[in-house]
Amino acid sequence: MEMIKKEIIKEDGRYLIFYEFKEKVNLKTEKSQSEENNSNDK
Amino acid sequence: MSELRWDPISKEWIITATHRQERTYKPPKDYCPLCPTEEGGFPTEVPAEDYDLVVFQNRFPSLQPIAPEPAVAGSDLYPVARAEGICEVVLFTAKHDGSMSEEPLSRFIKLVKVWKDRYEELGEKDFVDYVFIFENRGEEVGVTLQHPHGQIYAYPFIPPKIKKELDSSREHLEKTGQCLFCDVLEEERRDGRRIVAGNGSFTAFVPFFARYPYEVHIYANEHLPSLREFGEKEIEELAHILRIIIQKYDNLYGFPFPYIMAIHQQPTDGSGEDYSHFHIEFYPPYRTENKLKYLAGSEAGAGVFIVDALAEEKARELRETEPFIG
Repeated sequence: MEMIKKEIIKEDGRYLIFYEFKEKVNLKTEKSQSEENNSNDK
Repeated sequence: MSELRWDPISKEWIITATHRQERTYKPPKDYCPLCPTEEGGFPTEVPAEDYDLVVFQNRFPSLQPIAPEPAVAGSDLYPVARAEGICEVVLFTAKHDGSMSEEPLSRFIKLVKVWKDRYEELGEKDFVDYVFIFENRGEEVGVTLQHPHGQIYAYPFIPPKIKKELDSSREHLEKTGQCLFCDVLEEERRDGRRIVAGNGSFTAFVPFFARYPYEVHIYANEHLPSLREFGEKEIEELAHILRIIIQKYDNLYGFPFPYIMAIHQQPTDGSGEDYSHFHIEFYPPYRTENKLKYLAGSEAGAGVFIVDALAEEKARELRETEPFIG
């Protein structure tokens, strides 16, 4: 998952950074971790 | 006005930041400053109609990169200094309502990536010795804005609680050749009764010495000093275990469980690589479903915590509480 930063400077001089993520997280990882999560808690 | 005042008795810096009295206090949902700015709506902190994750400099900072001179003169006994540093706000999601525990794993992965980025970027600055990432969750711990968010304080010194930890760990290393946190983790895993959850890279447990009934610590299984050493595997597995702990908290009594979450890791002044060990500490204020733990005489006045619960029993409760399946 690639992270993209876009920084802007607000009128009062403070910075603000938008973080965007290009790739979707692997759903297989999410599913397997959810299963692992269940087995860990038993 | 903002400055550092030295307490020679406790040997700690105190930050005075009088302008923070003016900060936004529990605004109605329609005027949440952390929501996206809607077309025709009032301007929030985020000038966009939507966002994924956002970091910005706090409008009411305790520490500033260009800090004013102290408002009072110091002395030999009472030194003062400019409150130099950076205070950031981290917006976890554009959604105002709901709990992070309902968010998919991918959002937690993104959050850990943002934390890593902020740790590395802020830690590069000459005037920053420690990057402290934390979250205050719930009105019970003083939250004034409901929108899911955390904060980062980049301090010009190592904060006293962390310095004490690191001093203990350095002494342990000199005495035994081992990292203190690695040994604590080994002891907890050997005993097993206080373990709450785990995966390949992290272990969550209620520590033997817990000060709050539902206190949970998450330790890196390997000796990783900071987020800087995290690869994709550690990022995903930290996200995974964080989500499980927050889900368990929220399922414990069926409401969003308030807590203070503190990330402890290596200072960014170059010290402590051998004896810093990345870990997260959660301090939830509830001691039962409807009773809060207050810091009273012994805790606030003497620094001695009194806990009316056994860590082993509370760990079992949390272990047996199912996370949401999402």
